Amino acid sequence: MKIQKLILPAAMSFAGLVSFGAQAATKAGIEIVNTAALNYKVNGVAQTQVEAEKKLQVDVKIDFNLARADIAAPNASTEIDVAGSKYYVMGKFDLANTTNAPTTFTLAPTNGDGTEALGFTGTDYTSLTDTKDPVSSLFKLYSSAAGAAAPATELTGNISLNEDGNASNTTALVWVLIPTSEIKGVDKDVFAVQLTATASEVTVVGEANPVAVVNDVANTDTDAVQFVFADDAQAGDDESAIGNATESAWDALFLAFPDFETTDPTDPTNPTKNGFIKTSVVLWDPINETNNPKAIPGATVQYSITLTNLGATDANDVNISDAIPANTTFCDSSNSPELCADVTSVNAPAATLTYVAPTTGPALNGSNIEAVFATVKSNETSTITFTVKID
Amino acid sequence: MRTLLLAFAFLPALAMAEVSLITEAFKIVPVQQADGSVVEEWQTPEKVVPGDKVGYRISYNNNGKEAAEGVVINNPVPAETIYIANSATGANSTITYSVDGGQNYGKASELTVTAQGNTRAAKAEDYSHIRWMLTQPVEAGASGKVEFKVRIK
Repeated sequence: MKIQKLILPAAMSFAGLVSFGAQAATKAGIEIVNTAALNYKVNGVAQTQVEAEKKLQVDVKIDFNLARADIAAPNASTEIDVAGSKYYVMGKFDLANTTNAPTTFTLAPTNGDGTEALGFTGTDYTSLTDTKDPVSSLFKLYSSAAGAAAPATELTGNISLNEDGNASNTTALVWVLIPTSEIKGVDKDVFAVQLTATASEVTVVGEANPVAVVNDVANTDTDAVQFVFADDAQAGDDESAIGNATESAWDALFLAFPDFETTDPTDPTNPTKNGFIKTSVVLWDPINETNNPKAIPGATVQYSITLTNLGATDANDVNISDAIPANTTFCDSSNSPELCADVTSVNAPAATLTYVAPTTGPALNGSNIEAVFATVKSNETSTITFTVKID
Repeated sequence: MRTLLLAFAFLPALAMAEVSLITEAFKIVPVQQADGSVVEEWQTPEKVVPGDKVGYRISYNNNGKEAAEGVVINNPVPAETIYIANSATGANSTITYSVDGGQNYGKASELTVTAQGNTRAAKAEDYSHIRWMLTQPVEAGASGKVEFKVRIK
């Protein structure tokens, strides 16, 4: 009795040190053994202990998640170099395995068909839908660590991840790449891709070879290792609706170029619909002066050139050059008072656009009006005006 | 000589009582009834995966000709499982638990564990063993059962 008292605190401490907190899932194939022991006496005499044992083999719980890595925005059309070749990123997906066994997933990318909601949450992308397909489906699949900035390892249609609770390799970032030569489109084209991951094989404790994943809903064999599909499980699902060992998710490549070429002939002077516009107006003539002036010799004419980047990315080193028209002579405030004005750039003509001033100019250089913009960002505009006299 | 005599003295008792023990395992599944209520059903454990509830039923049967007295059933909580609080049942029994690998037993409210110098009340997941002490003898030919539930880690 004395000894037990001495041992007691030590034993209690030891039990308390053992962690009983949240733990990794029990691995598939492990046997859970329950042993009950019964002691009794007959007529005050202790009898031999009776024991009863029951074993349960833990089955495979297929549980994983596949989701687009960036829920807000599609992938930009930025060329990346992988193993010496040029690619665009069409999709980036996080794959996380919470199955209680090391699992191999089969991966299959497919092109969007234009009907699906892509579900991007970023303000500029909420209504994005698939508009175009690559020339061919020469997808390349790569993996990297979750959150990595570049693809690391080429995949041959499948990827293996460790079981739930393992310290390493239970998650991966799966990249769907397409050679840049396969992407032909214009600014704002959307190339959507769907990645499907299917759990195909698992490694089970006590089995020498990987076991193929099968749907065991109807299997009543209590001894064999079986599969329970817990992916996609939602509260209120019935068993037949819970999971199918397959998950899929959408992502997209969003083409973004600078664009001054867009033209809308139905609204030719609207800078939000036309990237490059030139207009003219007669300001003065020698007979009518400013009262409905006509384009007669000696009249003053103002030209306006409006430049708007209607593309999705910045345009750099933009040069404007406009020759003084034949049969006209450049004029400005220094040499003629008849409403001739200096070459200038003026503010945005539309509320949705932002004015950008030229870096150099605008000014007459030889027989050309010239201006240089170091950068014209998306939805930036500038209108350059100059005046001439009709010869 | 003395040892021999003692052994002899036990022999009749050993021959006269025989208690058998069976352990069964069930998967506990909540099943919605026609009236909308949900009842836990104990089903054959065809598929058992992490997170599932498993119920164990330990049945005893006195096949002997004498009453079995002082019946005590000990059951370690199986490895890879966590005992579900208040799930142990058994008619006419006192149920105690161990948090130190079966060395000491106490009622749920009396157990404490010490971790890093701090002592706190034991939680169900701390239990390592369950013990049922029957308050009545099991008469010859009589049988009974005790049950408990665990969750698979």
